[in-house]
Formats: sequence, structure tokens, C-alpha cells
Amino acid sequence: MQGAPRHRTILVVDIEGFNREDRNDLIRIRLRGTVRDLVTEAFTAAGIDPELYRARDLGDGVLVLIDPTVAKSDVLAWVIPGLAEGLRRHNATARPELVVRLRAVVHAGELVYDPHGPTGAELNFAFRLLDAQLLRRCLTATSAPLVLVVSKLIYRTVVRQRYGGLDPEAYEPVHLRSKDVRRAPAWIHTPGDRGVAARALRGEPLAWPRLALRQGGDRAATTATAAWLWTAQPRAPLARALRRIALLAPAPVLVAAGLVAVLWEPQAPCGPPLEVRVTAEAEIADAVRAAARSHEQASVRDGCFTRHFTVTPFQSTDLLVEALAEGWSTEALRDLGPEPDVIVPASSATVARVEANLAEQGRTDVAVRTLGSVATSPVVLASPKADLWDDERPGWDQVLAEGAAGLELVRASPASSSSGLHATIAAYQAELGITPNGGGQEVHLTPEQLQQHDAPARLRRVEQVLSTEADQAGPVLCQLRQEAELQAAPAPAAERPARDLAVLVSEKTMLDYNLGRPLGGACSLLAERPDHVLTAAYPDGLPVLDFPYVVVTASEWHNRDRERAARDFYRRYLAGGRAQADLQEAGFRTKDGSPGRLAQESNGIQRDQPAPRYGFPADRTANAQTMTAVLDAWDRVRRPARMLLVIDVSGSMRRPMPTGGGIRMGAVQDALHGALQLLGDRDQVGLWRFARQLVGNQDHQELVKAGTVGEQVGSATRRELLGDAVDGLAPTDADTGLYDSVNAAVARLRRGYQPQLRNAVVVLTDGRNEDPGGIDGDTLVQRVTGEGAPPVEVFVVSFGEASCDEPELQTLTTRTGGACLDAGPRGLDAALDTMAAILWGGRDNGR
Amino acid sequence: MRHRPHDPTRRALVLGVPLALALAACTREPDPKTGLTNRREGPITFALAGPDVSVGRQQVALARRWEEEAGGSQRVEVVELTAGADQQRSELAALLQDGRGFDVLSLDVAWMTEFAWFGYLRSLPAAELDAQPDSTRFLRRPLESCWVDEQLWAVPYTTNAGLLYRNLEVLGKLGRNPDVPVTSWRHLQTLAEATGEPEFEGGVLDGYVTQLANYEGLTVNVLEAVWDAGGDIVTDDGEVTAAEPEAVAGLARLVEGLAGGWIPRSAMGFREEESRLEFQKGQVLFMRNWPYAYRALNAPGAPLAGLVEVGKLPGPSALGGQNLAISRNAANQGTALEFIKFMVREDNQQRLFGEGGFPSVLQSVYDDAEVRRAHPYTGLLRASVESARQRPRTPYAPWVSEAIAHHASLALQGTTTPDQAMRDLARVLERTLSRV
Repeated sequence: MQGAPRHRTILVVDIEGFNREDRNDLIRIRLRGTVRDLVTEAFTAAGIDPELYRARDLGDGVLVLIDPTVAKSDVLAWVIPGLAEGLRRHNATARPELVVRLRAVVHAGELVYDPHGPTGAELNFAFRLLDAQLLRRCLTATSAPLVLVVSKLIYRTVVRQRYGGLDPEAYEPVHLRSKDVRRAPAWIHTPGDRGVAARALRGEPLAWPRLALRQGGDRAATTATAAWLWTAQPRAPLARALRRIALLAPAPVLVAAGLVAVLWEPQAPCGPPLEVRVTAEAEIADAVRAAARSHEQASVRDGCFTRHFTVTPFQSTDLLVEALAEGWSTEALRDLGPEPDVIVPASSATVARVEANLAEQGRTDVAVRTLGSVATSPVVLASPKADLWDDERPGWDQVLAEGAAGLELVRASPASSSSGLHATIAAYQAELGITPNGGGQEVHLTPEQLQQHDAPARLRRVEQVLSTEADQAGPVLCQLRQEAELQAAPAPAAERPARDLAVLVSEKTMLDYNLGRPLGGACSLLAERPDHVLTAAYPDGLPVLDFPYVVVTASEWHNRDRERAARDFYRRYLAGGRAQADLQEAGFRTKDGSPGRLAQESNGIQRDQPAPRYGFPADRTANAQTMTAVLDAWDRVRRPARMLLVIDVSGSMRRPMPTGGGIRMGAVQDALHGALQLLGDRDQVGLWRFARQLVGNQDHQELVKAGTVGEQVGSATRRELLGDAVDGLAPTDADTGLYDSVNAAVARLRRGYQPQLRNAVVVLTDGRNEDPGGIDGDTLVQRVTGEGAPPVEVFVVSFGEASCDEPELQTLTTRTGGACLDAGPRGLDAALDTMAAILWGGRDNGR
Repeated sequence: MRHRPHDPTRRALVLGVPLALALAACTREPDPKTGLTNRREGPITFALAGPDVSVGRQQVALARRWEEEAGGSQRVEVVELTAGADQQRSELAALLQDGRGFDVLSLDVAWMTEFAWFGYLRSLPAAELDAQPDSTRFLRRPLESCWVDEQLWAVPYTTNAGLLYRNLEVLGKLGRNPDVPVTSWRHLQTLAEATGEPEFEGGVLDGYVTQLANYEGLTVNVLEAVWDAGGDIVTDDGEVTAAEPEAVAGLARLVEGLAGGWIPRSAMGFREEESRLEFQKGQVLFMRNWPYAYRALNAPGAPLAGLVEVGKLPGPSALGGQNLAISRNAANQGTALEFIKFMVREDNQQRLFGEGGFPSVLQSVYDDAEVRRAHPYTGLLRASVESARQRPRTPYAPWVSEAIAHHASLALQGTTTPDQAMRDLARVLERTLSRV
């Protein structure tokens, strides 16, 4: 609607050098976006309602018409400084072609609107002021990002009245000439600078002192200038600063303009270095930090650091994966550290887990992208005994057999460390009989295989020989080093035997140990080269850690400049020759697998190991699922149990097994020895035997008091006591006092109950309850499944005359969460596997 | 009648009260005195430098108290950052650069210059906070750290200075009078060296433990040694003096201590807690540590309870502690200002010190009888803080600090001589500082 003229405050900004040659159209589009955003931001920050102004894009600038209800002093005192501040912030980190500087004009007057927009003489006048040559020259005489011109009307009615705290002294009177305007009075104001118009009129170039803290006298002046340039409310310090410079500078310098240019480089003070947050696996964190420092030196522009990398080591893969999937909560800020822009885990396996977790949580706002590998290091089996293996590539079956025979096998936690996870996958694979094809490069273990009937029992046996000593590999070896130092004093080196030990760690960590380098944590101090250098074996199925460089972006707060800095660090530095050589010196192989100077036999390393890269050939999701399944299985099979083994020694145990080969008692003894292998040192186990009225009126007798299996009891460990007790089991002449014994065993486990453990009574029996004076079946069921009483699982392994067809046994066991297992033709071992599957396989008993 | 946009009462006449309140909430008007937006209500966030592990989580409790005092009209969300100072700096800087982040920041004094210089903070009204340079309200050194380029960027919040811990039992074993304070490094060294003499029974004794792992704590220890030897690494005027003989002599003291065996080599792996745990084993004569260790060492039932005494370091300590600053991105700067005023109010500073063990920044708190009872080292600590010195005040502090620790570390390990290490350091610092 065209109609009566309306009063508007007019603000126009124009982008300096919009059509400069180093800017293409894409850049121009970005510049326009930037300016639009900054203008809106400045109005919002000034508290001006969006309803009260209209902004229009002009191609190389923006026209804003502001409702007269908005005080003009607000525009001058808040919008303009806010805009200048926004520009400074943007420019501090922008590439040169994206640096934005503006000319701006504020004027006011009557405008008329037609369907094509506003028009009016005052609007034209504002554009003329903005076009003035002198105003353009002003931009070349300052490093400030914005130069403002106001009309006489604005100056007289607003600035000179000091509305909104405006300072008329900060506005320089000038006369401007441009098209149609011969000599218009106007006032020029530059937020963050003074005397700009005067300098422009004299034709002086920009004369900013280069900042240098170290030059005594200048420092006060220059720091003041810098603070002023980078802060919100500068003003007085600048004038002071300039006066000081004038006072301090030798007169000839001031006189000779040429010299001024030489000594005082025309540049702005350093802006803030872009902060990039890197979270790296502890093993590689120090090396990445050192590389970052070199890269920062190389990224110096105009004498200023442009980026700073803070490298934070992480101790647990599990926690990292979880924190990323949860969007880096405040708990993660507290427990893990800064929200990463980059992660460098030890293995691509971790990246696959991160991706799987993000997908599972439905997080599309967080993206991870791998740029490549930083370095590599094979996972090795490191032992102080150089001649432990006949072959430098021993098979896993051989390794596990040695472990069962007494070799101490140690790895870091698979949940926390990549080397621990890969060692676990390799061991589980070998135990379950899955041999990787194509030279051990790919994971062929599947979640289904981990669910096999006998898998939990077998994996639990693996866990008994493969112990977990720490979250990370470093501390595992740190402990070894400390033990070695404690022993070092008395005996000369040659006389001390090497420990019967093999540790699954990265080649790099082993090298740190061998060279006496820091191992992190309490072992960050240097040590001597150890007496017994660790020697690496490279069993099949152990992968190469590939330390991927992964850029993490969260769309909500995406900072392109930071992402670029993150990428540059890898592409321009880490992947390059110098960084790769440094990584070799740190004990890694290069990203392509080349060993460095340190990889030699005297350091326990086989240089020319064919390095099988740990591949995720086709289906990363499937591999992530496998890893999750392995970790779940690991978590379950190592959960300690509190268990009472209750063994039938009634007369019927004398009878021969139907399959031949000895009496029932003998078969039970064999089975029990098998069961002992399932038990870890942290399990708590006791052994009872039972038969009717075995000890006076009592049907059961304690043979080994319940307690921790690995514990020393007198001169032997409880494990040894259990073994001896099993060997000593013999049939009596009594009947089967089953129910009373089960009842007593459950009651025993309820004393000192430990809810975090699996509490189970395991009964091996060949007969029915033959105890007329004892508790009956219904009462027993009531007692053991009693409401509110601590749950104890009851397993009955039955053979001979006993049968799980009996309803009491079924009810008794299944209602406690246990099971009644007929040994049947498959024998006792199979029944024990099933029990293990229920206790440690995460499988329920079909309740 | 037309109304001014930032005049909520008049707007209310036209637009109705609910809308007026909404608009008032997005209107900013400058406070002519402070330059801050003048709203003094509206929710804020407060970033703590590390998890609050004090007894009763005193910092968090204080924030809650502020809300209560305001009768529910104020809200502050407390966020605990991770424990490492580098990590805190990194997260805060990155968020500030993105135009977001927390509103009130608990900032390590080491990063003050950087954060002020790069415009991450709002300058504060010194008069309103009674924090002018000549103010007698705050301890002088902490207050100094808040002033950068003649503007106030923060108020002191907690302070810290290194103290010298002595094991009286070990001192007794050596046949020394425990009442004689250690007044010089030479004195300390003589006593510490005596622990190595073979005639003493009672196990292997060590002379002195401190933080010599390669991190900020090593920078602090090296600066303190250099200052005590009469040197400096970067002067207040920005001059690099690391290669001067006095500075080299300072570093050489630590190297000689390791070589002489009266500083155990394991100290090269120690941060604060490792030093304390080693000292607590009872086989070490001296330890340099922050005041926090006093409470742990003297806790009832602790092995050395009652056997530990503290004194001043023989030379000046590096100033530690935290300041409270307001982010330039804070939306509710008025609220933030009210909040920091509350946190440094006398009764609250007393509570933080007395119950939480955070050494106060207020002069008056040190005269409080209750605080003196809770912390017998109170007077000593004030003296240590008042004679403490600032670490190099430069916006490139992260680089400077890391360079000092790195080069000192090489000398401690024996990879290079103290002389060479300090010359290398000087070269690196020259280059770094010429860039600011």
C-alpha cells in the first residue's frame, strides 16, 4: 500500500572489497550470510524486537529500516558496537577471503513504500554518504572492522545530546563528497579506534604497532591496545596507548613514515588461537601432543599462533563410546574432559562401536569421519622369556594350552583398551575353533557363535588363563617394571630367572617398557633398561592397531573453522613424513606399517612381521555387533560366583556307569575336576558331601569351607584343597538325604549373602530323596523360593535313578532361576556346560 | 502514544502485562556504571574448575544457598569440569569461541591474561565489587591477577600457595630440633641430605618430594626454584631471562637434588597426590605441596596425623587459585554479577575456607577465629599468598608453561644440562612471546 510517508531510522552497511578478485561467488554468498547473521545478532543483543525493524539484502550490503519507536541512540550505542564486536569475533578466526569489514551509515527521514519497496530522498542521501571516497579511505586507515558515518541530523539530534551515553568526542566531523552531493557535513565514528578520518585525510597508512610482550616499555601500550581491540568497551586505553607510543618512539621514526611502516608492521594484534580438543588413546596421546606443538608452530600466520590443540588421554574405550552416544553430557565433561573435536582411538574397532552406538541411539546430529591412520602397532604377545615359543607365530591353541599349564597370560581390560579387546577376540575365536581365513585378517566370530551351547563354559575356561590386570596396557607393564625393580637389589641380573609370563600389549607399549620409557601414571618416570627385555611373538589372529584420526562434528554447534583446523592437523602434518618419522621414534610403525630404527631384535621386535591390517571388510555394522557380543560375553563369563558344590555320597554312587568305565563316583570326580577349571580365583566356592545322617542327625558335611578360590588356606590354596577333597570323595552306605541338604546349603549361602554375585547351590546326585524323617518336597520348595529371602539359584545335576522328571526337582530348580539337568547319555560335562551357560552365558533356563 | 522499546512499564500499558514481561526479558539496557546488561535476574550457569570434592561439596552448596536467599527467583546450574587445568582451559576457550558456554567461570589464575586478552570475558565494575587496585578487601596478589591492561576481568575466588611440609618424626630421627623453621634452600638441602647418611637406622629415608612430572606442576616448581635463586624466566616486563645464570642455578638445584639422591627419582613421576601419598608413607623429611594436603595428612587415623608441620617455602611460591569471571557470551550478565558478589561475600568466603578448605581471598577471613581453628596454617598461608608471584602473564601462557616444563624435564632426566636446557628454553620463549 502506497500512502503517507513514514519516518524510519536508516542503517545501511556495505561490505569492503565485495568484488575483490580473491573472492568467488560462493565466498560472496557466505559473506552475505555472515553479514546478515551479524546484523540480526546485533539487533537481538541490543534487545530490539524483530518486529521493529526490516532488513533487506542489497547484494554487497544490507539495508535496515527501523521503526521510529526504537531510540536512535540505541542503534548508535548498542547495535553499531555490537555489530563491530561480532565482526571482530568472526574475523579473528576467518580465512583472509572471508574477513569482513563494513562501511556503515546511520541517517533518518520520511520514506514512502510502493510494492517494490521503500524509497525517498533521505534514503538516497544515506547511500550517497556511504559511497563517499573519504569513508572508503577510512577503512584503509584502521584495522577496525567497521567505520560508521552519521548525518548531521543524527549527530545534532542524538550524538551531541549524549543520549544513551554517546560520546560526541568519538565522532570526527568531516565533509563528504559523492555523486549529487557536493559537500555534506557528516561525522565519522570507528568503534575501537580514533582519529581515523584525520589519518585518512592525511593519507597515512594504517599504523598499528606489532605487539610484543617482551619489549619493555612498549608492552604497556601495546597490551592496552590489544585489550581494547578485543574487548567490548574499549575507549580510554587506546588514546593512552597511542600517546605512549608517541612518547616512546624515537622521533625520527615518527617523522619518517617509511620507517614507521617497516618497524610497525601494519597488522592487527593476534586474535585468539582456535582451540581444538583432541581425545586420544593413552598410548598415543603424548605423541599426538608433541606433533600438535610442531604443527602449531607451522601454523603461525603473521606472527600469530592461529590454533592450539589440547590433547586429553582417555583411559576407557567403553566410557568414550558411551559419552559420544549421549552427546557429551555434563557428566562426561566432568569425568572424561573436553568434548572432543577429534578422537584418536587405538583401533578402527572403536570407531565402528561409536558408529553403532550413535545409530542405536538415533543420533543423527553427531557425525564421525575417519581421515586415515596416524600410526600402527601390532598387538603382540610379549614375554621376558625369549625362547618361550618354538615359532614366532605360535598358534592360539598353543598359547591357551601353555596358559592352562601355568604360563601367566595377561591382557588389559577389553572394555577399556583396544589391545585388550583384540586379544580377547583372538582368544575367543581360537577357543571356539574359528580360524580366520586369509592370514588372520578378519574377524569371523559372530554373535551367534558366542551363543553356542558350550560357549560360556569354554570362554570361562579361557578367562581363567587370561587374566585382566588393569584398564590399560601401560599399567600392566608398569606393574611388571615395579616388581622387577623391587627384586633387582639382591641378586645379580644373570641369576634372576625371567618370569613365566606373557603379556598381550601393543608393540609400541612393549618397546616403551624395553627402553625404560615412561609407561603412564605412576610409571611416568624413566627406568633403566630391564634385565629381561620382553620379546614379541605374533600369534595368528592378533591384529595391528591402526590408530585412526577421527573428526567428530556435532551439527548443533558446528564450527567450520575448527573442523578445518582439525582436518589440517592430520592432512598437513600427522600424515606427513616428519610426523611419521617422529612416531617411529616414539615406538610406532608408520601409518603404512613401516618399522622405524627402534624396531629391531635387540629390542625384542621382529621387523618384518607381515602386518595384517585389522580389516572391516564389508559389513562394519556386523563387526560392531560382534565386538558388542564379545564384550557382553566377557562381562558375563568373568562375573564371580558364590557357589556351594553339594555332592551325593550315598551307597548308590558305587554302582557302575551305564557307559562303562568305572563307578558313578568316579564319573562325578572327573566332572568336578572339569568344573574346577570353570572357577576363577575370585569365585567363592565351598564343597559339601551328603548322605542320610552323615554326621549324627545331619545329612551333610562340609569338606571345604566356602571362600575365595585363589585364597591361600594354610599351606595350600583353596583351589588345591577343593581338588584334594574331590579326589577324596567316596561312597558311603547311607541313603540319599537330598532335601535336607539342599535346604541347609541354601540357608548357608543366605548367610553373608552377596547380591552382586551369582549365588548358586550345585547338587550332583544319582538318587531320589530317601529321607522319611526329613523335610518334604513342598516345604523345601517354599523355603528355597521364599518371598523376600535372598535369591539363591539351585542346580541339580541328576543321573542314575534321579530324574528331572520329578516335579519337585523341576519346581525347586527352575523357580530359583537354576535348572535341573539330566546328565543323560551326553554325560556330566554337557550338563555342566549348560549350567555355565545359565550362570555366565546370559541365557535363562526357560522360565 | 508511542513508547520506547526498552521501557517495559510503558509498553505494558499498550501490550498487556504478560507480553511486557516476555519483552522485558529480551530487552537489554546498559547499566551506565557497569556497562553490563542491567537485568539482575534470569538463570545462569557456573563452571567449576574440577569436580567439587570438598567435604559437603561446599561450592555446590553455596550456589544452592544463593538460590534460596533469592527466594526462588534465581537459578544457577553448576557444572563441574574435569580435574586437569589444561582440560578446563581447553573446554572453556572452545565454547567461548563458539559464542556459547557457561556464564560464570571459575578460572585458574594461570589463564587470566589469555582470557582477558582475547576478549573472552566481560570487564567488571571495580568500584561496585570493591576490587579497585588499592582495595583492602581482597588479598593483594589474587586481586592483581584479575587486572589485565588496567581493566578488571574477574574477582578473586579462592587462592593458593605452596607450603613446606615437614615430618617431625624423621626430623627427630636425624637429631634435629623440630622447632627451627627452614629459612633457606641451603638449609633445606643440608637437612635433606642428612637423610642419606648411612648411620641412620629406620629404613631408607628420602629428603624432599615435590611435583616433578612433566606438567604444569613442574613449571610451578621450576619457577619457584628460579625465583628463590634470584632469577626469573620471563620478567613482568616480558623480558626472557631464562638463560641468565640465576635462572640456570635455580633449575640446577632440582637437578642436583636428584643427582645427590635426596630427591628420589620417583618424584619425576609425581603430581600433587603422588607426592602426598609418598610423604604419607613416613619416610620423607620434606614435601612441597598446596595447603589441601594438610587436611589429608592430619585426618584422624592417617598414619602421620600429628606428626606433620607446615611452614613457608624458603622462597616465594607461585600464586595458585581461581578467579570468577563473566563470559562475554553470558545472556544474563546482571545475574552473573550478583552471583559473583554473593560468592565473595565475607560469610560465604568464611564457609568456603572453614568447611570446604578453599583458602579465602578476603583479608578479613584470615582474622576469623573459627577459620584459624579449622586451619592452623591460616596465618602462614596468608603470608605465603602475599609474597607469592604470578606465573608469566601472557596470552600465550599455555605454550610458555608447557615449554618450561618440557625443557626442565629434559634437564631432570639428564638428557641435557641445566645450562643447555635453559638456553633452549629461552630461545623457544623468545620466539613464542615475540608472536603475541
